[in-house]
Amino acid sequence: MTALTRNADHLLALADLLIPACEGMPAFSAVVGVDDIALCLELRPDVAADFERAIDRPWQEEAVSSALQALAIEDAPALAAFGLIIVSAYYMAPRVRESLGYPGQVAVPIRRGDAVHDLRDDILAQVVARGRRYVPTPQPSH
Amino acid sequence: MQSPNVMRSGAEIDVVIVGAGPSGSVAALALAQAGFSVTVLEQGRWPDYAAYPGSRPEWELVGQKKFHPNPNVRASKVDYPVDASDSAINPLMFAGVGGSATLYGGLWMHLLPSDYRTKTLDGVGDDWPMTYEDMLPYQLRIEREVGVSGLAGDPAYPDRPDYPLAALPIGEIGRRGALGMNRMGWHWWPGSNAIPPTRHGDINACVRRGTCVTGCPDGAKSTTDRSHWPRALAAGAKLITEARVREIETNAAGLATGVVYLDHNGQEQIQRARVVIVCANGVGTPRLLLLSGGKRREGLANSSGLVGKRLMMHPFASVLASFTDPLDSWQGPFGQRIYSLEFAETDTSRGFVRGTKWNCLPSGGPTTVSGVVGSKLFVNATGGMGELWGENLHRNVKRRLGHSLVWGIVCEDLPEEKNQVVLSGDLTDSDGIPAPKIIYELSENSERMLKFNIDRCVESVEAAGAIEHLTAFPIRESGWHLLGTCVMGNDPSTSVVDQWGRSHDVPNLYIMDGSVFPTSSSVNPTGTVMALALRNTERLIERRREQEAA
Repeated sequence: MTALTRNADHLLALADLLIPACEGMPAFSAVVGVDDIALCLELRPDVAADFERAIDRPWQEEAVSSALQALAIEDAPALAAFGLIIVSAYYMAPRVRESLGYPGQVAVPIRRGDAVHDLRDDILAQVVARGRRYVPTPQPSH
Repeated sequence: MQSPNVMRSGAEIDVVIVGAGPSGSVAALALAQAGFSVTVLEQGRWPDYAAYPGSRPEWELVGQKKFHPNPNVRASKVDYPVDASDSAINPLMFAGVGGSATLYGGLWMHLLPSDYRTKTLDGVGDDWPMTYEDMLPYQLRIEREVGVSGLAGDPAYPDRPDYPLAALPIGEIGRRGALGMNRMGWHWWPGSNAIPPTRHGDINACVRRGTCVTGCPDGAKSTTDRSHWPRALAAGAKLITEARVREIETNAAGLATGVVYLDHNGQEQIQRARVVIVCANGVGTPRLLLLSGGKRREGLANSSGLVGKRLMMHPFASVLASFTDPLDSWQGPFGQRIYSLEFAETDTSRGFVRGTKWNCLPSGGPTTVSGVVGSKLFVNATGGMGELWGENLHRNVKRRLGHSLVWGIVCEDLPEEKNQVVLSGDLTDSDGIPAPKIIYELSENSERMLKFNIDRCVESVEAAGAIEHLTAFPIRESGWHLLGTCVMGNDPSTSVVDQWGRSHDVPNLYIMDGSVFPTSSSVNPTGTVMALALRNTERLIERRREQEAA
């Protein structure tokens, strides 16, 4: 049993405290599973040890919040790794992206006329009207 | 001096170049096309476009490690580490064919006319040995080679011909940034970028994926592996990757005879050459010179004592502004949508000399705008956990994702000898070669300049209707532009190389990267670095018969 599966309940409770259900968004544990976290750790093996320290700490259910505060004080790298992995796993979840209306970094080819359209309403006119802004090259003195 | 214990291999060639980044690539192409035998030694590898994470869901997670611009974070074998413990700014760079531009945003600018004359105009820094007008023809030629998109007519510059490619769309974030600037009555202009809106040679058309700074997976950002190397190789240039140069050798007459490098197996090799050109950036170049020169403690080409000194890194600040309207602000390109030179020229009533350039950029994906990871650019001043997590995480992301822009403020830092690159006493690269150590602090002039500009930037985004703004200053991870550490000039006692990049001390040693900048300007330097390399290489070719060699 890995630290991840051994501490799954603990991990999800901590993560739900940081990413709860509100503002129309799902809680962490509603959209991210242990497999998703394992994938993130595979992608960032450099933070795996710090992450494991975060979830391996003694913990009591009624004191999740204070456990996080203690982690921030006693082992900031562990908290940073924990935060990185859970926030990444959360925003990689398709349901979360859908809720945000975020399509990901998709390809949106540039269409002919886009650049001209973006300068509509003559928005450059007043910049041009102000005239020259630069200091010219000084002429050498003889 | 020649090292006794290295494998002496390979025939003497005309020119060996250290570094296959922007300037080394320009020099290699020009020399090969002129019939020179030229070999380029690059410590990194060819880019692997399939490895760039931009098109995958894990982009933000992976980009903060494997494609982070700080070599200390990447910790790749082909990079060298940098001791930045005595620096306010971390130097950023990337080793590979295409150089640090692999991870740049493609922001493309010319220096202003006044940038070449800061001593004459403002009594600070040094005048360059050439003028804006001298450089313009080379800038325009490089733009065509690179495939720069932009709109001519900017009143912040003298008149110029059209760009090779039409400007990219400024998008809704550009329009929103422009709205604030127009309401303040300040300068802005559609961005110029090394990103083509239509296919240009081997560079594909931009698809606005927005992941330029972690490598463009679409091959749609101009880097020299695409713009220069196919032609350089066809013309006969030789490129050796994973080749780390550790020393420039010289003979008793004080002429360079070649370089010693470690190949991909860690085996020492020597490449003999009649001319050595160093293009290893403002940190790597002085490092190599300080490593060379045999027993001379001051290194090679350093009779002026200025090798490594006068480091400039463009101190940087940013302002993220959120708006109620959708701005599609995850969408690319991550080049500059618009820029402003309103505060670029000196106005001493502001309490500082010289100035800044602003660039308006997208704000990125949800993890980035959440502010909870990475360099925490977008954290409120009080910065407590409660502000970042819980309900606030959702509120912050909903307010910013797709609804925000980022103004980056680039500060012209002035050359100071105390800001410098030296060799580390204890840190080494993976081959055991001493790593560089950076000593850098912000001057009072830079601090005043950035604070003034942050205040003005906040005024601009508020005029545009921002419902939130977050400022970041100082930013450690901002040393993109590594300049000034082997200054050019006419006087050998106050400069390392002459105006053609040739060492005053070693007449067949040239430096052709940003190290030679006498001052830093406030604009992105890559275009000028490449234009200088073209100008100086053509001079070398033209004067080939007069060139001294060992």
